[in-house]
Amino acid sequence: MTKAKISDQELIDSYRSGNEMCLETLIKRHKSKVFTTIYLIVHDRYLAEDLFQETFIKVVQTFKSDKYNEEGKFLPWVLRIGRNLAIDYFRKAKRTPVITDTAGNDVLSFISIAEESREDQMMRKENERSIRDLIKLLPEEQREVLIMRHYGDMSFKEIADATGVSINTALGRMRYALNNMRKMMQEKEMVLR
Amino acid sequence: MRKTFTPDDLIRFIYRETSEKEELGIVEQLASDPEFLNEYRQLVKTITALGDSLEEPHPTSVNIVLEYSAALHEKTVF
Repeated sequence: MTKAKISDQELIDSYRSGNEMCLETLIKRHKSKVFTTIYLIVHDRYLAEDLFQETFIKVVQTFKSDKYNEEGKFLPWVLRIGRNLAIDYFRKAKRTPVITDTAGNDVLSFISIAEESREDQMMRKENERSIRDLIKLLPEEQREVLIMRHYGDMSFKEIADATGVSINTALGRMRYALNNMRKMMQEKEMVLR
Repeated sequence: MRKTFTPDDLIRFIYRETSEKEELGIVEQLASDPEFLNEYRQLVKTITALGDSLEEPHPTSVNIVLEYSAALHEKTVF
């Protein structure tokens, strides 16, 4: 018999009733999407770690103060917090995201790779790095939509709400982002399967 | 009149954000419009190339949040 997955809302309700364990389940369920989204916006692993912590601390504060009212939409709400914190960071620092070389920073990477040869693993990593380097080159508005839709798994409606534009604008930005990615991949002669 | 779907509709279709009715219309158009089919193939290739592997935060980051929550919880209980 398969065990039914507890919904985010059930975990939140239980956490707010005092079950601390539910927060851990909730964070573990969504940490990769939240971290990847923040990381791809700021391009800096250490800064992304800080903003990830700050994001979930805000989540905890909101839960504890009984101000949470996003029933059924936990992940888009958390991603919105993370995105806003990243934007605030750059606004305060009065600088644009720095493009950093990720080589050598992979000591903190804990992605598990099963049944993959070392060579395949290296090629996949290299390819991922190349794709992410290209994502960094996209105009900010396009990059943001692509990251939130593809890696954060937000719908276009949720992205439109989070960024204050219409769904058509969000879709248009995604189309430009994909067209630009395609052109850049072709220029770099990357293999599109 | 039959609706003509656009590349934006194809993007919603690939990310499974279209209604059943829209899906049927898009599939019909893909079968009858080679240019539309080519656009679809290009989009799928690009989206596939983006990959789906995610980055993980360091376990310490998760622990910091859990410890913060536990400390707040203790304050409330005691």
